[in-house]
Amino acid sequence: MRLQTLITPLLLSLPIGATEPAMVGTNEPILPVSTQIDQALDTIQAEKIKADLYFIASDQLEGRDTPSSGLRIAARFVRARLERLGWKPGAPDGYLYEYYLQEKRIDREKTTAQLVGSDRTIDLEMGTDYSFSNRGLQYQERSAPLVFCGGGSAEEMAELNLKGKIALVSVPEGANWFRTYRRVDKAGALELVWIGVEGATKEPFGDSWAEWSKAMEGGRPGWPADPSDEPKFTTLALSNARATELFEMAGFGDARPEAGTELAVELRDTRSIDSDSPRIALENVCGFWPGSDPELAKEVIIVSAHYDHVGVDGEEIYNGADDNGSGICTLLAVAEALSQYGPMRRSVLFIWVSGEEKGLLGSRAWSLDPWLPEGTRAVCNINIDMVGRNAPDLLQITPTEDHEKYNGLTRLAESLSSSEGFAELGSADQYYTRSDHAMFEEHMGLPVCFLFSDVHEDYHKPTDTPDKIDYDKVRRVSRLLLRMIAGLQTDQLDF
Amino acid sequence: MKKTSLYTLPVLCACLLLGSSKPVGGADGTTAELEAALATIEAVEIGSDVRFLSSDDLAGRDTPGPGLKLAARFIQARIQRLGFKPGAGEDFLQEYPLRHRAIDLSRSAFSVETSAGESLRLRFDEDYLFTNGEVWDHTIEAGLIGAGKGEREDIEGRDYSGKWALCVDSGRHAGLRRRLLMQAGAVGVIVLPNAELPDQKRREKIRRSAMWAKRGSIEFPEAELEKVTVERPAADYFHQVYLTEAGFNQLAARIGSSNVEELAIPGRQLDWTAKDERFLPGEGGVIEVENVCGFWPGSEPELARDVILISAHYDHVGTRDGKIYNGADDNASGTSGLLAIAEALATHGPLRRSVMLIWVSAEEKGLFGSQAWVESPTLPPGSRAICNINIDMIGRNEPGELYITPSENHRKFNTLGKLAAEFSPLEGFEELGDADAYYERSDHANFARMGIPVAFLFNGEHEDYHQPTDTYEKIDTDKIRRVSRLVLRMIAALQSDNLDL
Repeated sequence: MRLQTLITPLLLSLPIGATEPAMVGTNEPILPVSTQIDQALDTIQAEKIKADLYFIASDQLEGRDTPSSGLRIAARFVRARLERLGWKPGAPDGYLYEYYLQEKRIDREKTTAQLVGSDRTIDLEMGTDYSFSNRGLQYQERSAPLVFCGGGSAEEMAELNLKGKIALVSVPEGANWFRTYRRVDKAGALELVWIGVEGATKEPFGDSWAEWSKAMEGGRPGWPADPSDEPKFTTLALSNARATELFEMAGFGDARPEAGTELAVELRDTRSIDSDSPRIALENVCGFWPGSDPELAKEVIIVSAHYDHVGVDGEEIYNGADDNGSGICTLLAVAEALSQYGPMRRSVLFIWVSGEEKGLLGSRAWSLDPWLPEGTRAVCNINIDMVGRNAPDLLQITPTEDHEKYNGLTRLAESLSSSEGFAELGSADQYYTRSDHAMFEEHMGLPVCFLFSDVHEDYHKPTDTPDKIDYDKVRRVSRLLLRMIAGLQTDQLDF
Repeated sequence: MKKTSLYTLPVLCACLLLGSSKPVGGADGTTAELEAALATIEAVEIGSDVRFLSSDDLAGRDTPGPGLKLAARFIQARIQRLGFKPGAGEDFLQEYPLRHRAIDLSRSAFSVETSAGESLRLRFDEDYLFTNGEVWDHTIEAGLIGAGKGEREDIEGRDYSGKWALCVDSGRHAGLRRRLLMQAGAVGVIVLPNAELPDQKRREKIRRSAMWAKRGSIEFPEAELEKVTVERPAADYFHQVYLTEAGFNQLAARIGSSNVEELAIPGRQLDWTAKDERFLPGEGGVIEVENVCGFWPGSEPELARDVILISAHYDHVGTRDGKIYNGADDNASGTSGLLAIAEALATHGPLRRSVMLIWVSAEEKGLFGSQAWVESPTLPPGSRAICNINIDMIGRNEPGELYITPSENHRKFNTLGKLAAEFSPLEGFEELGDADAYYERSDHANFARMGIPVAFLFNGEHEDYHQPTDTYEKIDTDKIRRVSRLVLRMIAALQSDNLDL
């Protein structure tokens, strides 16, 4: 690009219509004399994006799971690019912002459960009498009366107030339990205990009990647990034998009462996590582009994209080309464009976050404990996730004017989108809570905006591969992003 | 001024800067394009590449290995971004076959199925072993008959046709046991561990041999690759499987008995089947590895048919004993230098002659990548290689320390050496040392076999050479910058009408 900077002052004196030479290897049309922003826009090229995306989505990165070696390599690839482009480190000790997840392991000694009746107490043995999955592993000491809710259907649970109670629900084998789960949670129950239907031969979720037991020794990495955390709504599965004993204890003999009946039996459910549960270090990649204006440089525009995906499943690699190779490479392209452009008035922080697929964990960690250069503060976030598929002119945004968090970023995007071939921006409001911008908004109160070109048949499949990406579309989204950043340089920002 | 001259002055200036191949300035005759190209080579960028390539996550870039493939794709992504043309036909990656003699752990297994329908699948090394001489693509599945300690009196007179012999480790040499059992028709022998042996020396030897089977060896395939999958006669595959303590304990738990003597009673028919599946990697031990080739076409119709080859190997030696051999100097330094040269060429624009940048793999196994390239050159039709400059280890030792071969003392001394000597002081190398002892030691040796002049630039060995301590922090990135600039100057000087190499 240096040859260009030599020629530029000279060419600026040429009348419109004279041309500058095409850089060798580009397929872009030869352009008329351009302004500084146009030159920056011109660095964004489909072939370059494609080269990067093929690397990021290559089988060798094995689907970039959180955590994994492929994820680390992707982080280092991005870091290497930031170094080459002359971006400043945007994290406390360099370019990599570290945060920790925990592979929760059960503390078997301190994890107990009992059924407490008026005249006796039954100790429940984990694995034999009851079980729960690693997702339910949290610090808790719960004790509450059981309310039988039949099969947990809407009719059976109509008008049931379960606040401060534990729901007891029978689930047939293979049932869709998720709706019931939501219903019970909404009804205010502390917990949900699954039992088999009357006469069931298999334990509720019996096939999963062995898996759950294994997962208790080290399940997937999750948000670190602290004893002082407020326990969440959770579930437990009770064996058929103990369920029978329970009803008997409650005085119903062999039969089961009506739905809505509170039993004179309490469940005591204590759960504890092994304090030696391993911590796993993860990284967000952060690059800082300082602003030039003495005052405005203290304001930082945050641009984000998650760089993790979902790894492998047996032999199948989930390449994650659109999700979120497209977003990763959009930021890489705009980072190069900004290097070409020089400083904007305000500062910019690009963050590639991990752990998104595990529950927006990287953005959550960062936004709960943000790191910015001294004296600066964040003013907004633009998040890019899946922008490389579907129709060339299809691009969605959230929050739209129908959303309570609607702000000036959407207006700005709408004013600029047609210049990049997006005549209209559709609504992605149904995905507002589904990607990293939600964390920047929730924990930092920032105005946010999310660009997204919708799901497709290869979403979260091994077939989300780089050959299917519309590279020209990613180019235009990248250009749009740069235009938006350029549009956020006015004296006052009107969100 | 006349009407048209409104455009004349700026256009004239533009013409002077663009498209001219005449030297414009520079005390050393450097053109403005060359200066601009040289200026793109920056220590920070080189360092960033060295750090990425030598990071632990690339696990020492062994041939073969996932780290190596990643490095290839990293290089490809870069030269693709820079606008290089694919240098291997339509691709940037030239695939070539190598023989990998190793046990493919992902597919090989030993399993036992008991009469009760219980099955047990054992893992190589932890649970069972066999020696490096038995690394095959072959599977045996058969019943078992006891054969005691595998001694003459245990075997003679019995028929083991089509069966495994089940023996207790006698601690003695396996040769006699094997001969006797083969004569008796056995397809193989399963040897149970014997804790009562006075020493486990023989077992130790077998363990070490199994380690070699696991690590494997890489060979350049024979000329006629079809011979690879020709099978040997079945009789040649006599499998000798040694169960470890851990493996045997698992088996004993399944069958409820750990009495080895009883299990291996000579002639006792056991109603189990044992299956020993052995796989070589790839197809019959043939794997595909990659060289990365980027082509920078020349601008002049005739001269563009001359191709200058610049090479660097991008592989290293992987891991050993759990330690990663990062190979920062050997040869992330040269690999990154070549990437910097690529960027410089992209900035410069086309030269008169063409340039082919080749990153080769399997150098550490015996210069196999460059051998494969030389045997199947990926030159565009109608073009020919005219010379090679190879860089391997250019980021360590004293800043001013650089060696070359063939030096003026070598019978193969050529113009490249002269050019290197001419330009090296401009890049802080007052004098180039003599590396003739290394003439056969890196990839230029293969390019030389094409009958073309070569030059090898090298900073000499150091205490971290082929150690896990050849790491990024020790690298002198400015040195790599200066060596890369030197090579670029040499390339630029190879553009005159007639070359006398």
